[in-house]
Amino acid sequence: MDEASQALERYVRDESARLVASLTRQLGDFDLAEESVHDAILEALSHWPASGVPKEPGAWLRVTAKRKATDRLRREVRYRDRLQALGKNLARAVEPDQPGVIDDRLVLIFMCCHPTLSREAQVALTLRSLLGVTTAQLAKAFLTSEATMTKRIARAKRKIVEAGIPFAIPSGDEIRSRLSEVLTSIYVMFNEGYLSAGPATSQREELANDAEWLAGLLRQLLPEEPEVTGLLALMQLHQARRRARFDDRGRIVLMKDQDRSVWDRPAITAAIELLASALRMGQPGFYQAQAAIAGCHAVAVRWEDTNWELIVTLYDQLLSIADSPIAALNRAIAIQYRDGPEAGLAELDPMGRSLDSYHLFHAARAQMLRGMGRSSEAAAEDRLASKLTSNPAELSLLQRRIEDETFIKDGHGHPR
Amino acid sequence: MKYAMVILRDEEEWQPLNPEQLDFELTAGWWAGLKGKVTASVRLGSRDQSTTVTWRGEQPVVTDGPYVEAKETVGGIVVVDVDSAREAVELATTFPNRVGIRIEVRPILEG
Repeated sequence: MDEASQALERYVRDESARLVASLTRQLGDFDLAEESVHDAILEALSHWPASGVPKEPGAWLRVTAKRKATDRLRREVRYRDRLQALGKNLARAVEPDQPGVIDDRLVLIFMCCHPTLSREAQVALTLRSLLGVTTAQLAKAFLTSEATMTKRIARAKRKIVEAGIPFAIPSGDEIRSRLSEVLTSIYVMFNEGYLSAGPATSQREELANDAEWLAGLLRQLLPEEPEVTGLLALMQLHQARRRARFDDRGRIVLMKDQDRSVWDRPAITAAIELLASALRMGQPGFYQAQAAIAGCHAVAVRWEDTNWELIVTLYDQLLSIADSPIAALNRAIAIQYRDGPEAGLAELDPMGRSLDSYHLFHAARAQMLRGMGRSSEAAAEDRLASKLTSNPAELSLLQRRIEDETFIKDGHGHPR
Repeated sequence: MKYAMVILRDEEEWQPLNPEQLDFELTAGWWAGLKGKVTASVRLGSRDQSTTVTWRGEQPVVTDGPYVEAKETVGGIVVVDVDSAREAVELATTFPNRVGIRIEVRPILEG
C-alpha cells in the first residue's frame, strides 16, 4: 500500500472511534451509527486517494456519516417516524471532548467487549467500531471470507441489542471487574497480529499496531488503572523486539539466539518507564506481571545477563494472580535457567498430566533433556511436539532441533 | 494482620525518579514481593493540591496548601495484610524509591 493510502487509513482510524461513539449517543442506535461511519469510511477510502484528503477530514467524515445515517433512516420504513424526531439531533454539531465528561469512546470499548459476545466477535466489533477497520480488511486479517465476517459483525450487534446492553458508562465497580475482559480482547487482537504463523504480513502487523493504539487510548481514558498501563507496556516490549524474532529465511529465532542489537532500545526504555509507573502503584495484576517478566528480558543486554531469580519471583506473582498451566510451564523453564536442567525437569514432570497435549510442554522437556545429555529422549520429545502443532514456523524450528539431535547422537554435529 | 506503610517524602530531598536513576529490577522486585499482600494502596496528590483545616478554638481555619512548617509530606499509603510486623517491615525495606523517603510502618487497629 502506498504512503498516502497508509496515512489516510491511519487518519481514518484515529477519527472513527470518536465518531462512532458520539453518533451512537446522538442517534441512540449503535448499529445505525456504526454502519453509517463504516459507509463513510468506505467512501473516504475510495475517493480521497484520487481527490485528495479534504482540508478538514474529521468534519468531512462527520457530515458524510450523518448523511448516510439519514439515508438509511429514510430507506427503512420503520425508521421514518424516528427521522423527524432525530432531525434535530443530527443537525447539532458534534461537540469536541470536554474535560471531566466521560469519554464516549470508553463506553464504546466496554460495549464492544461485553462478555455476552464471543471473543472473536468482541475483537471484530472493536476493530470495526473503534478503529474503522473495514469488513474486507478484517476478513483478510482473520483469514476468513467477507461474507462470514459481515455475518459475525451483524450477529454481534444483534446480541448487544438482545442483551439490552445500554450505551452507558459502567459503574466504577463494574469497570474494574469488566476491565480484564476488555484487556484480554485487546491482547488477543495483538497476538493475532504478533504471533501469526510465520513472519508478520503487513495486514497482521497492522493488527498488532492497532491493538497497541487501542491500549494507548484506554490508558488515556483510564490513567489510574495499572493493569491498562501494564498491558500497554507489555505490547510495547514485544514490539520493540519484533525485528529479531525471525531470521531472513522467515524462521523463528529463540530469545536466547536473538540479535539484541536490532532490539529498539529507546522503545524498551520508554516501555520500562511506563511499566515502572504502573508497578509503583503497588497493585497486583496479570498484565503487569507479564510485562515485568518481558521487562526482565528486555533490560538484559545479553542473554547471559538475564535475571532469572527475579523472573522466577515474578512467575510466582503471576501464578498467585492467575493459576495458569502455561504460566507454570514458563516458570519451570525459568527455573531451568536459574538452577539447571535437572531442577527444571523436576518442576515440569508433575505437569505432564494436564499439559500432555500441549506442544510447548514437550518442546520444553526436550530442551531440558538435551541439557542433561539425553539427546535421543530429547529428539523423541521434539517429535511429539511437532505432531501437536500446525504452526509452520514452530514446526520448522522443532524440525531443525530434531535434525540437530540426530546429528549429535551420530556424533557428526557439534554440540548445541 | 494489617499494617499501614505510610510513605513520607522529604520535600527538599525527594525527586521524582528520572530515567537514569530508574532501577527496573528494584521496582519489579518490590512489586513481586507484595504478592497478594496489599489490601489497599493510595497515592496522594501533590502538596500544592492540598488544603489544610485547623481550628482556632471552635472556629475552623481553612487555608490553601499544606501545613507550612511540615518538611515532610505523605506521598501515599500502602496497606498490607501479613503474618507479622517483621514481614511488613521487610516489605518496606524493599521499597524502590529511596532518596528522601521515610516509611512509617504502623499496625492498623481493627475491631
